[in-house]
Amino acid sequence: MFKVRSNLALVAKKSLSESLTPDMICRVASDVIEPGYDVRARTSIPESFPVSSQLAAGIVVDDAIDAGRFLHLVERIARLDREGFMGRSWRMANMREIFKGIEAEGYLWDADTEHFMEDPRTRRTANWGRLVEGEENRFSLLRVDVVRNSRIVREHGEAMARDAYDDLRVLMTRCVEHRTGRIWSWEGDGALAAFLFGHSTTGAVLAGMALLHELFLYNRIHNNLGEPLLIRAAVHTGPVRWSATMGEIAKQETVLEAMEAESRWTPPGSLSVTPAVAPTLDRVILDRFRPGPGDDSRLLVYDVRFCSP
Amino acid sequence: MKYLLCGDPDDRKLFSALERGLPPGSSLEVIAPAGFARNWKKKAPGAFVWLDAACLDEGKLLELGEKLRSLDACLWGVADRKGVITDPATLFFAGAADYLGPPLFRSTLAPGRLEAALRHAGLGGEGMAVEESYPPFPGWSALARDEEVQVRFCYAALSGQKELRERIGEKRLDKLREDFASFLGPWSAECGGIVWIKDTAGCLVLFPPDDEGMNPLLAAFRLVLDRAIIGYEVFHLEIPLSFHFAFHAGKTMWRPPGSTGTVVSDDVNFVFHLGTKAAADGEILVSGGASRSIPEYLRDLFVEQGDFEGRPFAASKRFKD
Repeated sequence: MFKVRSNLALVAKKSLSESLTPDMICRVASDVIEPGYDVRARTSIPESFPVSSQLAAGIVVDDAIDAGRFLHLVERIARLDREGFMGRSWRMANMREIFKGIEAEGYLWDADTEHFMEDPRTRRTANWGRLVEGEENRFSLLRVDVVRNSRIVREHGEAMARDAYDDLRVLMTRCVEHRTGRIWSWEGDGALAAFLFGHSTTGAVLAGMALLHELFLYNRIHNNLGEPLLIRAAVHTGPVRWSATMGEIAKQETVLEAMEAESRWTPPGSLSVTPAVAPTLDRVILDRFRPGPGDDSRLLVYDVRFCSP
Repeated sequence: MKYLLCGDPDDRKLFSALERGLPPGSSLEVIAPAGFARNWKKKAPGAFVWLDAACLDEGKLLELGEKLRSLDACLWGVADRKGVITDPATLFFAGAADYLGPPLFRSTLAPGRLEAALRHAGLGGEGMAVEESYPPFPGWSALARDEEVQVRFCYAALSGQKELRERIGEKRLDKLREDFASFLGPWSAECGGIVWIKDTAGCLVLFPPDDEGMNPLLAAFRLVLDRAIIGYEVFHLEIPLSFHFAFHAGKTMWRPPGSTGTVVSDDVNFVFHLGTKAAADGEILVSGGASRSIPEYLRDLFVEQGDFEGRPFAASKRFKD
């Protein structure tokens, strides 16, 4: 989790107090900490006395830190600095210094998503170093499972199967993390990856497509099983409450729906997308998918196929 | 020819000693005994297979040797780094073509050691084609202007440029071509290659005559497989994108990129024609001269097409959009 050093907190307070009115500070806090945030309720100052920008900034920054939302606060004021608010421009002071302070903690500004991300060269944690326990977000999930896992273990032995699954894990990690996703769980023969930032559904779908391509080559070049290693993969999107306990995540509706889409409706060797995902994809990607097999399927599927000779 | 080692993939000493003894440009594939037992029929034809005596007992080794002997154009030998074979002659009685005992692993295998084994098996000449190997490639910067060099040519281009022009306009297409040429720089460098000549439709890339890094045909295959992803993520296109490639091996006078002037070369003309006139969207064409560059694991994806301008060529199967 992001650790806010006292120097950085001070600079942030200074930036808010020098750049925004108390009302505007409260508005920012409402967006970032909780809707309807009231700075006066956090103080013992009587109604008849005005709250200064300095006081409001101090309280809001401290509350944002306590709520684990300091990065969200900085991202919000960075947007305010860039875009203004309701037609008025707000120039935020000390932004360069704040960014430097955050980067010194191993986080990088991602201009595409306009978020701070863990520097992937130093660490890659399942919550991107910024999600708070119980925080709900709309995630895109990529669920992957090895086809006929039990038979592979029975026929090839545990060691051979484990080698192949380790290879699969390397391939999947590469495809997922390249698109700022995170592997949330790996159960030996199956995995769950999550995407949150930017076009998260597109990221999850492209990671799934890339994984099928990697497996196509892996099966020809490195696979020692003597038969192709096949997966079923499905992408679904919906709300998930973050928890550091994976068991808690696995029980949630969106995760269960992703698992059902994969196990029940996805043909071996394919990637499917659910009806919640399909409309969010750009045409150029969506056109690569075709309706899933069977009259009941509402999924679209993609696989690697050759043209007929 | 393929070179396989059926042995412990973690035995780096064994692997590197054997690999250093191979002809330039060849690589050694290591397969664990369990995997080899299942795959030998598929992997071993046309290969020289060393069986690691440390992983297989003598009975199993002879049994496997017997099976390999029955395959087409397959030779087998024994790598005995730890000296567990008591009587190496029994291996030759059972049809082995080679035996590498412990002393041979203490230094680099003598040059020509493998050729000697092939000759001893009566396969050094016509029976089993021992591929011509080129002298080690000195690197692009070490080549002198107008020096004749043996290279692999690859003409790479965006497919369907007429349709692209209609959908994104001339200006964006020009930019896309520029971006594609820039993209090919690091792509070719992974295979030891260099973008040599750019024309309006595509680029001529040169690769060393033998693989240095990734095999260029595998790299091209990756691009064709990932075409939708690359179009979207790299070139930010909202319409489908595809590529086509033509590979050829031959000679040319070397001139550095950007100052090639007019290159007079039969091979350069041929690969330009093959790439611009014969290659369809998403296709990889390989002339007969470059066919040795097709890795074994991709060979079944190429189909012989007859002749183009009097030279044979093969085309890759195309992926469905």
